[in-house]
Amino acid sequence: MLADIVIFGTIWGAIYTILALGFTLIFGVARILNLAYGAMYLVASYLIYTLVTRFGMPAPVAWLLAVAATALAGMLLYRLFIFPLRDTLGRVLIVTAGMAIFLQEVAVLLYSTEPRYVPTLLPGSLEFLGVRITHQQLLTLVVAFALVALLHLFLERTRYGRELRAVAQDAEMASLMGIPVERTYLVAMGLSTALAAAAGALVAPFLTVSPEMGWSPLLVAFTVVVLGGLGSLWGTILAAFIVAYAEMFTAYLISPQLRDAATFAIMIGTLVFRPHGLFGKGIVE
Amino acid sequence: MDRSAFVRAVALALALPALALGAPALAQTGPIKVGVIGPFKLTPGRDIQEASTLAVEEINAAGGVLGRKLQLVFAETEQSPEKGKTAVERLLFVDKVDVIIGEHRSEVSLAVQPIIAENKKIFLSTGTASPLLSDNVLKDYAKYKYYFRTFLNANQMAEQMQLQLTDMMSTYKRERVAVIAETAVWVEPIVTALKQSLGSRLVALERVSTNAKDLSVELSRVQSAKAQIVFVILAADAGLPFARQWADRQIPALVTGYTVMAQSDRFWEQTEGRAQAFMTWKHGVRAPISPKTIPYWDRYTKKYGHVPGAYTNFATYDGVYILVDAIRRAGSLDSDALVKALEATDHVGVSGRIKFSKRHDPEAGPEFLPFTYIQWNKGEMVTVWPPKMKTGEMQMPAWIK
Repeated sequence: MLADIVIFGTIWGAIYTILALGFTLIFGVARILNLAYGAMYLVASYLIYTLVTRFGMPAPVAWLLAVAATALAGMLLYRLFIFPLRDTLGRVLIVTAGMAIFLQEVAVLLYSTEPRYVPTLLPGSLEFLGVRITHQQLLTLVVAFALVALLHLFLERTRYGRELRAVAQDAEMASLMGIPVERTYLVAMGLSTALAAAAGALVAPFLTVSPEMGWSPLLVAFTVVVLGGLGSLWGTILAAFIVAYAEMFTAYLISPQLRDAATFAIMIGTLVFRPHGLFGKGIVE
Repeated sequence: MDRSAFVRAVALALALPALALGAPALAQTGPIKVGVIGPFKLTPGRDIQEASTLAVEEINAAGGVLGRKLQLVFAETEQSPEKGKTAVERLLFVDKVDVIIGEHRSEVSLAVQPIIAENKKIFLSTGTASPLLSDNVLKDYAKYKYYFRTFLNANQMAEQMQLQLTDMMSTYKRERVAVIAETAVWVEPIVTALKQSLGSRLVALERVSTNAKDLSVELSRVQSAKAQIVFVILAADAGLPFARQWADRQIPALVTGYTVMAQSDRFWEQTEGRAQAFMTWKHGVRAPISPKTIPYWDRYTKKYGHVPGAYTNFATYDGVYILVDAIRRAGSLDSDALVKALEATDHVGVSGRIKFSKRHDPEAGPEFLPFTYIQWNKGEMVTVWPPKMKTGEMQMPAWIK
């Protein structure tokens, strides 16, 4: 049982890390609390399902195309709907919640409420410490760590990355220094959406794809960011693993039905007792 | 009186008798409207829709009933009690249907049953299992006598399921059973019965939400409890991730019980073949249950390009014929007369012989509605239980010796 908790907690921790990094990126840089974030995870999953089952595309190609297309869709949504309202947090919340519900209803209309599946990229499984892990889950772990490393390199070593960090610290000053702030926001939105899409694409093969699938990752991403604090890569990673292990402990030792309740408890507890999170700046200021 | 007032008066004088006499006259010559409720976007709902359509096409082609054709009016319930109420109110008050059939979730049927009963219309449920629905008939016959069901209630299912489970345990020498059951109103009688009958042989009991997407924790708990059989009761979507994860994780336990998703012709594709050796009870299989069964199966498959999927299929097809037979015998659409006619039903349909009990549920047992199990084998649903009706041998999952 302990091996199950450690192994599955690690896999979920890796997935939660990329989910939360995308969410914190767009909030940290552009102060956009994107409630349509989970919907991007949904869009990517349905895109892969469509590309593979209706157009017969090989799964890896569909996976890459779907992530790229979702990132573009995220940028388009930003330009059309978020940009005009960006100055008011309340309006952004309402418009992004509206987008999430709209995309969910579109999924119902196009695909019905029947669960769909995303084909496995890597079939097969292996046994480790008495626990059977699918190759897909291992791939998820490897890709998630690779994405975190790539994001770290991007933020530290590239011009765009430095611009993103500068805008996150002080948008006005960055603008005065000649950094194109609007373009930076757009890049942040694209990256953020791509991370949500990648998480969806990785997870969908071992879960199922259904229209309401976007809400649970949104809750997780929000909780991880609240716990980890804003602006700290390591804080986010640590918080993602704390949430994942807490969920697994609750599910295995008490009841699997309380898994989401554990997430909520962490979120509420952090907001009440440590509103600035473990590291960095708090989401509530 | 000026000219226009005179014209209005004449028009009114002509119209009144027409309104008084003409409307019922029209109603008796127009089609008989059958309201059909269900979640049509899901396999159980799709089967309600397709089976009722096929039955009505056949009946209308043979001249209809009482000289009138049947007309189906579909109303989507989306598995939601609230949406179900709206759908039924629309059928009763806007479409003015004569009878209502269908539905797949007990929660929806329980929500709409009082509305239909208060309006004294027949409600023939063709896919819900909660005994609470037919308890109402016993408790308040005057109000709920209009409710009938062509599908077994959960208490009847529990009895039959235990027969198969006991047989499986002794045939394959398995003693340790885990139950994974969704949290839904129809499931409770089955879980209670299993707890009582299995006693200490029940090594794990996992309850999951109807919208669970991930059952890996439950499967780990089943595995650590060293269960040899996992008895599944999942009518909702969770059946799909369960099957995929059961095979991916190579859980060393045979699967039986009741997984609605596994009754669908799409299950093999949805699980990418992981359904191999996955077993479920299925109401309605291609077996010689009655002389009508195999011809219906083949006719249906030819028309829709896929085999009958969920348990609602046979229950709905038989339900339409039972209704028409009752209308013919009652000689009218009067609901009280129809109740009497339905109570006298003794119909051999595609699912077996249907006679209603005092609760207005069908009688169970091999001479009435046989309880049949299928197992997925190389993309096909093979009937493996009871032995009298099997069309193939039971297969073991590749990872179980």
